Amino acid sequence: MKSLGIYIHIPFCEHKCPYCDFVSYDGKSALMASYTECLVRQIMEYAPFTRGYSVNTVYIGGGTPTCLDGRLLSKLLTAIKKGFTLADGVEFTCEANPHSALADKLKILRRGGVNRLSLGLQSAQSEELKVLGRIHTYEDFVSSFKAARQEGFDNINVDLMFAVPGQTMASMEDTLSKVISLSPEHVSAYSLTINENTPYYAMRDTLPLSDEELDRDLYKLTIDTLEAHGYEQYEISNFAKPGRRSRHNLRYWNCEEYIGLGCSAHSYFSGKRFAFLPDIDKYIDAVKNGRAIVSEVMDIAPNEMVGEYIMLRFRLRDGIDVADFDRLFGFSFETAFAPQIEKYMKSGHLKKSCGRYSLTLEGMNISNYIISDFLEY
Amino acid sequence: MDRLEQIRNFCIIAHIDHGKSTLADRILESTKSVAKRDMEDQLLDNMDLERERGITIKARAVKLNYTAKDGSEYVFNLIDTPGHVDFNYEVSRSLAACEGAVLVVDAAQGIEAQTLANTYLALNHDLELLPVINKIDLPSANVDMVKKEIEDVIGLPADDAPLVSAKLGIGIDDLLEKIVEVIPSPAGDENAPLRALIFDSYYDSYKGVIVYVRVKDGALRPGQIIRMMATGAEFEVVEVGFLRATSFEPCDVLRCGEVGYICASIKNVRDTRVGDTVTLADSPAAEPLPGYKKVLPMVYSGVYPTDTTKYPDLRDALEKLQLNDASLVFEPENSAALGFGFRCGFLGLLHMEIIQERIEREFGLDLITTAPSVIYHIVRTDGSDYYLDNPMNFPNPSEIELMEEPIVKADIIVPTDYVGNIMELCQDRRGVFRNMTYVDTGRVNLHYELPLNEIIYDFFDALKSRSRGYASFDYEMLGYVKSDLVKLDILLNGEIVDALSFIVHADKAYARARRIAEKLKENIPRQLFEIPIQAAVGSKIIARETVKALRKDVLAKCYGGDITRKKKLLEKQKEGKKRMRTVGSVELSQEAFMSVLRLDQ
Repeated sequence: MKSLGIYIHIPFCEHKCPYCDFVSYDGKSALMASYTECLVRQIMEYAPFTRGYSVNTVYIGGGTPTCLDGRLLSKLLTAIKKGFTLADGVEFTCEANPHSALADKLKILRRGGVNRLSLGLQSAQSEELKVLGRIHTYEDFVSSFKAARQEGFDNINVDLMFAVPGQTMASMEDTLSKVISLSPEHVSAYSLTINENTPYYAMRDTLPLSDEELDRDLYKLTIDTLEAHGYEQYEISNFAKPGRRSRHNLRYWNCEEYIGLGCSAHSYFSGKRFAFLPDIDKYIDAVKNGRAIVSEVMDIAPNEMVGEYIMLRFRLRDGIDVADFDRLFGFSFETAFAPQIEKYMKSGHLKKSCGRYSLTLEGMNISNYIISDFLEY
Repeated sequence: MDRLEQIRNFCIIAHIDHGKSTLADRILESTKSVAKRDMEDQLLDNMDLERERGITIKARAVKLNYTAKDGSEYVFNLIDTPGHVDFNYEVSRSLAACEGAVLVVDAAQGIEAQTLANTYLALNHDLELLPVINKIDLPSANVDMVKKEIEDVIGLPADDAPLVSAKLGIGIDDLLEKIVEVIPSPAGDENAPLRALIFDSYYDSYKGVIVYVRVKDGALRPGQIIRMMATGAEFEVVEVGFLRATSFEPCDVLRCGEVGYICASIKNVRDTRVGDTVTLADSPAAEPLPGYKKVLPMVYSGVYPTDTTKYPDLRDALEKLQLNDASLVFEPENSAALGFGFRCGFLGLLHMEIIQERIEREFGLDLITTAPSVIYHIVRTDGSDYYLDNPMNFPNPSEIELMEEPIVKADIIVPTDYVGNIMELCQDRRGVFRNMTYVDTGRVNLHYELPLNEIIYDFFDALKSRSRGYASFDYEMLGYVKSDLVKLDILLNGEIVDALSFIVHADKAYARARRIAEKLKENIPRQLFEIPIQAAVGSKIIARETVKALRKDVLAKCYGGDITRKKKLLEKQKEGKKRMRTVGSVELSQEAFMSVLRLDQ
């Protein structure tokens, strides 16, 4: 049976962070019930297309999924289990933000089949949390983390951020050591990115942003520290203990199929990439009234698939397996990209081992620059 | 009335923006040469580029019929002239085709540098000048002051000068009457051997080259064999006629005193040089008309396609442009940095810009051009000498006995408030101050001698920015003077980039080198490795900068929704890289090459 990933988008937050460019609203809690209803309806509509697929990852992201009240959460989880054929050993993740009242929600998640939790900590420094517009404290995080463990979550991810305005090597070191002391199974560490259409973008000239040098030093510190404590970097921003890589996220990077439901959610299914309306009001209106909810559809031509594959695979430490590539696309990776391979092997940005080409740390630092060279062959 | 007495041949001369083309349009309209509904603004400026830049690039002529107030019929031949120093020779030939010139002066701005330059040119050709004060409708118009300027500076009586507003159509009738009154009718002997002056020509894909002439002596009919006296080329005349505003009007004969066109199945404008004399092959004139010279380029630059595979397209474009522009010269050039391209010679910087813009616009080619160079004169130690227009061919300094560079005589008219700024600028450009005269109480005319290589880059822009746009400028070639020149090389990653080399005065090499290194640093994107930028004279490094290696170019997050967007970003990055030229191991954009040409910003 073919495998499939399911993504569910929950576009609500108690407070929207000034750097965030995901579709999420912090003043629309009145829409939670009808939005959940729409999700349930969409799940039922899409379920028939997934017959013959075994769903082996589910990911509820946002926004802050735990913003939904217990009743709505249960409703959603029930619909997921009812609508899709979940595989044995399914990886079922839900994102959550540290919160004093998270314990009750955790119980509901657990009961609903969620077995992996992703907690958005970002930083253990109160100053940095403030700059990032986060409304939780490090203490909230510790109690949420412990509550999760108590509830039986034995697979937890912690989100961290570096290059936060005001961050130093020392403060990052402190954050890392605090997180490591709790032994989460997985850590994601993202370099702060200033995206257009965010309050941060408007403030970018006055923010004390890290320069490229500090950014890369913080990145290296993160990699070195986590690897020294048994976390393997398997993707540009992701680290896991053995056997704990995020199987859902790997689907994206391995070009495997997934269906995303909810406003702004993207799917890659049956050779097409498509997305639903990003605006929550339009989305709800369209679902309720049976109108078109797809905002974009793209057929991925075989040659474009090559580019996507390279772009995504080079994010991974495992990189590109030459034999896999040649089998998948019917031509030789090493022949088609001989000049690029030579150039970047020579410059030390690319390495080869056991039949796989992957970017070195220096290569990952400038992966856009390198990958853009591989888009033409 | 005698036939010749009914003819008035004149041109309109003016400083840029003083309303020459608008006035020409108004005259066309008033003489009913074009129906109002066909009136397109600035009819005589055909090219989009001419209308956009507000300049006339090519001469044009039109025959008009005018009925004077006393009922007599007249024929006007209005010849529009290019309004820029680069085209001074063409202007002089257009003037030579006329008996008089209408001198347009802006009522608000008064006399400017080009007004003077054109006036002197017209007086050199013994033309009768009719001053006209235009733009009298402007609130800032000061007719009395401008009249006084015309009288004081040019020495023409201006009391009776027609006051017009070409824009609003005021005073045009008065001007037309004045043209009849002031401008002399042509002279000439219809029975003498044919002598017709070529003042322009252009290539038409149906008719071949169409030659614009002023017949000075004799007459010309279809079927006759003509000879170009300078080139010796002979052709059978297929058609002669008059130039109307929107069409050609064939006729049986072109006679002395008249302005018209000749078609003779001519394939190449090179056979019909501006200034040459057309005569009849079987009864040639003894002497050609005076004043012919072969126009020589003043400025050379390397022109390369951004995409190396477009070399044949570039050649095609240059050949097509040359069909209409005999002053454009080019020959293949090969640069280690830029590949195959052409060394092109231009009449001046404006001419260069126009050609480049036309190649990009009309032929859709992206270009990289090297720093423009003037023509230096080099005497070797063995006594031989030659002219050098390409820094790539700069000899070993030990072989040079002496070098000379071209200098110009410049007139800069500027409000007194900015005299200090402008003198400083001229000083900085190695100018030699000659004289200063007052145009009026608020403005002076600064006379400088300036090396041509100091004014071809960005002098005009600098002049404008240091006078808040008020300074006007014109120049003419003066000759060559001895100079201490060196070749400045730019090294990227230790390798000389030949396309960035140029010749500079030894005293300025250091400052220029530093500025270029800074500019390149700003315009070279960070790459895989650190890139040292060095500027050198001979083996001596005189400036140095470093482009640091690229350290971060990565998207931290990439999940389901980002894939399409991210791919697009990378595609864009790829396209950007495609427009780069790899020079040695360094990738350079067109902007990097161009940035070194604009050092004053």
